[in-house]
Amino acid sequence: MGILSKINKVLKYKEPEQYKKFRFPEDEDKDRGEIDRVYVGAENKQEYSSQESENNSSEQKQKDQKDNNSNPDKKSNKQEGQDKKQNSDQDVDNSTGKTANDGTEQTKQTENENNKHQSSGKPKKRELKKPIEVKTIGEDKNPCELKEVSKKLQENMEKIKHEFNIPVNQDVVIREFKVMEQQDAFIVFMDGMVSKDIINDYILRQLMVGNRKKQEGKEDTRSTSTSEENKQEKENLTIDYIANNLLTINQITKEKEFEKIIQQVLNGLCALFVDGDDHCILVESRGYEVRSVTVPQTEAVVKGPHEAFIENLRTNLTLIRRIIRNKGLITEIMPIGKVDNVSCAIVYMKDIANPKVVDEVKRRIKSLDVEYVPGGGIMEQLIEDHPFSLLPQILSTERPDRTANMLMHGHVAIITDGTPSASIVPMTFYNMMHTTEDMSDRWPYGAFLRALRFVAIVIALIVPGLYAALSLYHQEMIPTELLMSLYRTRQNTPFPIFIEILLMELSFEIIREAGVRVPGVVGQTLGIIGAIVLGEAAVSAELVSPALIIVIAVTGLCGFVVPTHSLSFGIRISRFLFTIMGALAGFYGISLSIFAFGAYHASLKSFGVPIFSPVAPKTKSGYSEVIRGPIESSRERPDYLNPQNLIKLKTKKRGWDATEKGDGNS
Amino acid sequence: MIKEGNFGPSEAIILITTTIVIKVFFSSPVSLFIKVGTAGWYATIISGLTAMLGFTFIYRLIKRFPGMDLVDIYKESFGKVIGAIVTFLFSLYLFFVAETNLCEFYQTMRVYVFTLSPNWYLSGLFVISLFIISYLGLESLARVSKLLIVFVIPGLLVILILAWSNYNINNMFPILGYGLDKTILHGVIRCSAYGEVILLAVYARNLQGTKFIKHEGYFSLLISTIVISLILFTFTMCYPYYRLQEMVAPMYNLTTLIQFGRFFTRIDSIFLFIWIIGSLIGISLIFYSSIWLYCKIFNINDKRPIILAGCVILFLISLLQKDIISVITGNVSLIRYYGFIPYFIIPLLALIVAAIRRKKGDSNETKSEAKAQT
Repeated sequence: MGILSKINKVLKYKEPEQYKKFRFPEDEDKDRGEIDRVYVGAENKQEYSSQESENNSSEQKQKDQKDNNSNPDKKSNKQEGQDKKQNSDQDVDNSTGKTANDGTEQTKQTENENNKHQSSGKPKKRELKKPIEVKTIGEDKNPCELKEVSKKLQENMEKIKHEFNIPVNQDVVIREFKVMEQQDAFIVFMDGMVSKDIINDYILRQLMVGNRKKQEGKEDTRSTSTSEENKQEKENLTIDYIANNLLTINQITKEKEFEKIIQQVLNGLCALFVDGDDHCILVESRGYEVRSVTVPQTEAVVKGPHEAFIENLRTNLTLIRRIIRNKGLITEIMPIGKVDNVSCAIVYMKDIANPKVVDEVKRRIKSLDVEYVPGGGIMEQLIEDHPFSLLPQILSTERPDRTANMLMHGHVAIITDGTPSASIVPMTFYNMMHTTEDMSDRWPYGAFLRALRFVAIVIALIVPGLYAALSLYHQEMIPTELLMSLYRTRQNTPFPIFIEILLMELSFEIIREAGVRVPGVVGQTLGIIGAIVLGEAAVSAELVSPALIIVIAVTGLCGFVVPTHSLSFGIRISRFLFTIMGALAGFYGISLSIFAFGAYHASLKSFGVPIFSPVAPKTKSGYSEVIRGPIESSRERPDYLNPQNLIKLKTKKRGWDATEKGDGNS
Repeated sequence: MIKEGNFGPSEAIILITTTIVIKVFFSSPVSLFIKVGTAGWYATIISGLTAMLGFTFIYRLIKRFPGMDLVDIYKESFGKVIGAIVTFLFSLYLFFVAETNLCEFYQTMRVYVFTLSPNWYLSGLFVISLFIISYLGLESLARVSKLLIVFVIPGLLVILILAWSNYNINNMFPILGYGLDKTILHGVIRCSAYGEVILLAVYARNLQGTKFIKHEGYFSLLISTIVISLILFTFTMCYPYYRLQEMVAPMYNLTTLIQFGRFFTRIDSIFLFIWIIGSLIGISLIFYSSIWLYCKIFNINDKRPIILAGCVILFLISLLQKDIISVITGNVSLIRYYGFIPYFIIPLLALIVAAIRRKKGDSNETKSEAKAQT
């Protein structure tokens, strides 16, 4: 009597006939694991005793599970029953040996023990033994706890429903169907995030209808084929087969972990699950609404490209790649935010960017411990070096051409999904003073514009403070005629100079803010009304002096000259510091505050690069970042970035010789 | 903890040159003109050359102990205890210099610009800025100095050039002043005016090697000598020497003389900016060096509390001065005539003692430094 029969006897279990025909005497002792799998995998004895077909049994299982979902009490009872059975099976395993791998030696020992019990003549009292782990028991785990895709389609569906809170959440669509009218499958996707054309034409049609021709071609042969051949065909409908032969989609990936699958579904991909396969296919099906590429709003230029980033990450990356058509352009995408998981792309030139900077960027982004990052602006604040500084340390640009130019210099760009701008690091003060026009125009124009901006930034910072200082402390320094003119205009003004300046500065800032908030044309009108009517009215009412109006207007205009929005903001706020110091201690106060302000900002670093590089500290190359010279003069990349390849071009950029005549002239 | 960081040759030259040159904005030229008359402009060249000789000893000392700063060198040369005492005294001396410069600065400012402002107000604002700069560290000071010197040098040149309408060649005579012997004697003694070059030895570790220190030292002294001589030459050309002997701040007086047309009548504002920025650089460097030496002697890693305490003490001591005359005749004279001892004589002594005791630095350090320089 074989050991299996003994076990069956103990369990009062009748072995199904379908298994008996496959059994050989020598197999009984060889492969215990297979036996265990059969017993444990069985849902209940009824299935086997009724000799139903395999398809029927799987349908029964699905029904059972549906019942379980609809009636948890029933499920729990059933689960209890299953647990009991598992325990009994485990007891069997204990008595027969742990697993099949333990070999025949243990089996013999068990046999001897059983013989002993039988020979004693007393009814055997089963000892309660500690249950041991049986790998296959995991198949009966709660589907909601699954970490990886199960071979059972129903479990996968339960898991997906559980994760996406279906049916409460109505954004998620689950579509069940049969692949080639044979294999059960379902797809899951987020409604609105996917292209319906892709889902309908290239997934469902291909899997359900597209192969009908193939089926029809085989129709004649099918009629003669046996059920075993059908079964064989069904078994052949694996994930790999579907991916390789049925889906006409350019970008698909096989994935096993539910966490990643769910993340990708949230990103707009479609997940295809097929019965009997422990993987799923993630199909690139993103097709949500995006804004078209438009002209830059804050970095408009006269000469140069007129494209700006949009909110779609993929489009933004394409805009850059269209400019830099080089294999060395690397894009690494990583999620940020624990709840939101926004995609964030780190873009750099592999052979140019300093690897330490790239690693530092990745380290900072990976180490972010935040729930939700709504955009690139928040992300910039989370990774910048000095959060309390008034000056920014990361450049935010909406121009793909500027980003591409920076990348070619050795900077690293960070683009966050949903943000129409790229964040460039490391960044210096001089980089923030650049515009695309500096380079696209001839060098004398570019040099003039840059110099003009530096003058403007000084005016925007200190002119109101200087006005206060001159008026309050250093009247002797003003030329007599100018002094007389100033005093005439101030004769009837009731406020002290400092209050007058503060009032006007605040009014100006309020008008500017209102102009930004009020939509479109109305905003512009409001700016004009605010500036002209309010200013004129204030002068007529003798509330402020006309000279101060000029000072504030010039200062405001100079503030607009600063090309970087964040830097412009920093200067607007810093201006108040210099005004206060000018009012407190005249030139003395302004000079002291310039020095302290400068010293603080000179200590700032952006990803290890001092903010005032290449001037302070001085570096070997990179002066073209400060003063725009002829194109020929900038042959090296900025040394402060420590790029892998410092030299841009070893040969002359203008390879032609003006004295020589070309073929066309000869 | 403040990070010292490294700074390059250009930053070092700017720091040292500015610290030396700012004296010309205060009462130092006056005391020189009192001693040597019209020969002041070349007496300072003699001082500069003497300082270069003195720096040669400092350089030899650094070269003997490569990779070491002044504190370590003194400890190595004089022994730990005497070395520490000498360094401590030097630290106190620098603090005294900083305090004197601060007093001279705000008293002059009060005389010429803020006649109604109280001393504590002017001194207090300066000390607050000093605290911020020292708190940020030497690296920040070096960088901001480099940034602002771009505005200071053209401003200074503008003042010197625009004053040309007041130049009178007759003011140069008698060209030998009160006699060549007096000129040479005072020129040599007043080499202390260039003594701040020793700070290169204090920050020897933060600079990029002995070879660089040599270049930085000589170059700083050369530029300083030229600039000071040029400014003194301008003063001599613009004013008769007997009038120069009465001025507290001849540079400020010079700016008030400038008149080009009806609009460019005075350019005090430019001078004020140069004056304040230059003074901040110089006094901050000297004050920070004093704190740095103190912390180094007592192995204090975190300088911030010491900086705060130092600023409070500096502020309080600066208020003890009665008036600008007492500052000029007291502290400034003392520093100018005896300053060469801590600046040049002590390093020379250290060199001699090291030679006698056959003390030398690590030869491996020399090799590695040479390798780094190549």
